[in-house]
Amino acid sequence: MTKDQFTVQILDMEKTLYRVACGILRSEADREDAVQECILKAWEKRSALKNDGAFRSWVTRILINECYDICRRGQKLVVMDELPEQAAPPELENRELRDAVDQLEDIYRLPILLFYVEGFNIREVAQILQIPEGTVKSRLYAGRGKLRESLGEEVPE
Amino acid sequence: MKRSWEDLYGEVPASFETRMRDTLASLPAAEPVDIRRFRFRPSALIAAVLMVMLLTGAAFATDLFGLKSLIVTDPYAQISPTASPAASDLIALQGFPESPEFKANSEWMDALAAARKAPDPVWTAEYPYSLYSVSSPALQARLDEITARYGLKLHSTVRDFDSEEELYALLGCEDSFFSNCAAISGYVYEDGSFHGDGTSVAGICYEYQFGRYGKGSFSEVTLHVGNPNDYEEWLYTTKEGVTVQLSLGPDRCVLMADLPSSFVAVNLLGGTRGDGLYMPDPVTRQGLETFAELFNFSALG
Repeated sequence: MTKDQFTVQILDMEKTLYRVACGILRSEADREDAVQECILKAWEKRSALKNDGAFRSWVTRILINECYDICRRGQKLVVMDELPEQAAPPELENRELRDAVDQLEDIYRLPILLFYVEGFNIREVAQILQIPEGTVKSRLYAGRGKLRESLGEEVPE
Repeated sequence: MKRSWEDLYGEVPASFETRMRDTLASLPAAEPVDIRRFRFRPSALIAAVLMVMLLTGAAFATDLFGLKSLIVTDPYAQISPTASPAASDLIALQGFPESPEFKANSEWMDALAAARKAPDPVWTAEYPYSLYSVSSPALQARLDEITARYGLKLHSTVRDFDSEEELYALLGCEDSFFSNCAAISGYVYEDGSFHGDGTSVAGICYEYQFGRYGKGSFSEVTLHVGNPNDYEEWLYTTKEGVTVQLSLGPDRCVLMADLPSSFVAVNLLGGTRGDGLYMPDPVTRQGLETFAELFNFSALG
């Protein structure tokens, strides 16, 4: 993979990388650090990627690892309900949904983000999170149940 | 207000985009790849095989029940009209290859793969078929046929649990299944089969997915293991005298125990590489054996 090809594919993933980082880290600075490390590591290890079709899920997994590294290094374990409020971007219309997702525990939030927001299929989510497909399904089911508790019946499909 | 998943976190900030572009711009250009083809040398291969045999005395004994023997068709594998299908890395978790539970799941995966070619997007399965990946009347009939032939029952009820105590209360069980279990949550079926995401502590934190599959019931749970050749596998007898199969892999480890009334399969979320999402430190052979001691198999049986 050439540098140009790599750059194009990473830029195509910009929104995915941002949203996944948002799902784990609350500080913009941390998110930027995580994506920088992710890009550097993905470039360095690109020869390990056997199937170019899996680039998106592979990079996402690297990013998640980097986010958790940042959490560990800073002892900033994500406990969403203890974190200070963060101003919603002005263009954000569904603040309630975001708050409800942010309140979910990691084990539910990440599968929900990857499946519903990023459009990864069950198998890809399982590979990214290194958990069985059955566990992905059960976490999606349980996660939606928790969102329904917070939002009533208005959980988007 | 209509909620939607789009724009959940708003627009990407300019600073984030700038950081990405700066990082990409700083990457060195790709260096030419040095391709070195592996040359087959029979003497080297024989020596390597002998070395593996010496180092893992139980290699032949476990080969019959290694992860490779548990691979089933991956019904969700990407279908490409041009490329040959990739080898499946999906294993069934309900029993060793000769068991009716394994055979039934294997046939069910074949059926699901075949059904992908003619999906029925409108039809919805009713209870208890909705507990499985039944997506058409034909698949429902196929599931009935497979389970009848192997004498297996479908699960009928499922309930969530959020702690060890809740699990035991749901099962009406007085024995403890786990040692040093810090947390476990999951769901349990009417026959005592259950899945749980657990954390146990014994020197280090072990993060795992635990599955207990009741014999005589049908379960479709499977697990991607990557390349089964990357695993070191052996039999280990726990201090309580139960023999379990251990598979030590680069990214995950698998523990399996064939018990009198159930089959236990545990997916440890860390491996020898030590860069796992949940377990950042490498798992060693001894560490995996320590992990096996964290379960009370006689109670689980």
